[in-house]
Amino acid sequence: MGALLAGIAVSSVIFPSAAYAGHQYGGGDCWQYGTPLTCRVSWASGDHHHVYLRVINQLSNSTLWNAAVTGCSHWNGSPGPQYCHTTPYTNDSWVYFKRNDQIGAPNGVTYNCNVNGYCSDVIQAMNIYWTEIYEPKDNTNYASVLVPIAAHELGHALALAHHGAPGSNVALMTQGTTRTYPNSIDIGPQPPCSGASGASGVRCIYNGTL
Amino acid sequence: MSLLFILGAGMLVGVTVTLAQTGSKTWLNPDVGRSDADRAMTIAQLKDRNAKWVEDFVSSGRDPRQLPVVQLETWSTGASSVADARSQSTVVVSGTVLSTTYTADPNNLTESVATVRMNGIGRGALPETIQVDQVGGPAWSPTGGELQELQGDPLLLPAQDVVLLLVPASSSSDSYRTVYGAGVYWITGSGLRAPESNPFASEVNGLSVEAAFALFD
Repeated sequence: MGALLAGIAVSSVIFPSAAYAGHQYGGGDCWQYGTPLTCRVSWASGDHHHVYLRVINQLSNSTLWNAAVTGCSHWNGSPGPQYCHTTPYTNDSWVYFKRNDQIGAPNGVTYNCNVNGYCSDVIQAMNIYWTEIYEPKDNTNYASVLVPIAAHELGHALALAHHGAPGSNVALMTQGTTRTYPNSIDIGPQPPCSGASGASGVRCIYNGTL
Repeated sequence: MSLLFILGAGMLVGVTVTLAQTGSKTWLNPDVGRSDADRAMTIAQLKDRNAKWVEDFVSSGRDPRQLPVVQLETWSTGASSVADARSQSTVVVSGTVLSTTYTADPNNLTESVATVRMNGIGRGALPETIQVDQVGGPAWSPTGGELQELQGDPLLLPAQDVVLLLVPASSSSDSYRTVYGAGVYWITGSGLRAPESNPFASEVNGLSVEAAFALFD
């Protein structure tokens, strides 16, 4: 444990600060010069700039898990640099789906963690090492938003922030969304980061050329 | 072995970051080539460290008010109107937070339990003191910790005078939780004050406790 903490201490010096003033976290640009962030440590530049997520089931509930898998497949099948699997994939990083029944339903919360083990809100700029997505069991009483919640939270795992007024449903990353797929706002335009500020999507974060 | 890898990977990535400032920006996944078991162990060790930090925070009697508050954004913004909050709540009370405890769990979010003494009841029947369960609490950070709470559910802290809209935490316990997004109001010298995230704060701010009871009845 001592060696681990020593490693963490050294890493804390080497790694960029979690908070980065002026950085448009969630709006994209993690690949560009001027920021030390890449937003997800498993991002691989130079290889069509892909980012691979592996979702891991710690929900102990098949209904919640099925929705998580569907949300994952919707990201996976959409344009952009992101891939999402339930099985191991080279250069993947992990997203745990977990239960917290103390959260009032319907709801979900994403907890992003960096390589130092600092876990916090999705708006905290960091290089995400792993993600924990928490949902209450009572979400199963709200069948129509099961997939929207899972897919929305996976967007946070990709480093996307909220977009639009709550309830406006303009994108998957809108709070309270009922969308089940990411749309052009969530994915972003080509070339990456050529859209309006704050609406650059996952392509902009990872310089996605697909 | 995995511990050494963390250190090694950290140094490697650190070098990469440095290079990125002058050259092509690249990133190497510190987990490349590692087994799933090693990766899981690294994460588990970090989470154990975080839980231990919370336990130490509690046992040392540190004041959570000294920590910067970080809100964890959620899919839902919770109750969106007075009518919404009214319909969701089964109990409306005023009270004083006597104490809070925090339970760390390396495999879940920290749990906060506040003991609240009843000063008045607007709706419902409650004992003299109740427990209010909330998600969140002190959390490890590289800058000395932070107080994490869900966006729509500000953590209750000792000595606060509050009006609470509550629902039973579960059918099998005597604990309560707040109505999400609209369950906590602080009592101040100038009346009630709602959290900034409350969508109908302007309708509540400045009200007396009695007026709030009437509003949510």
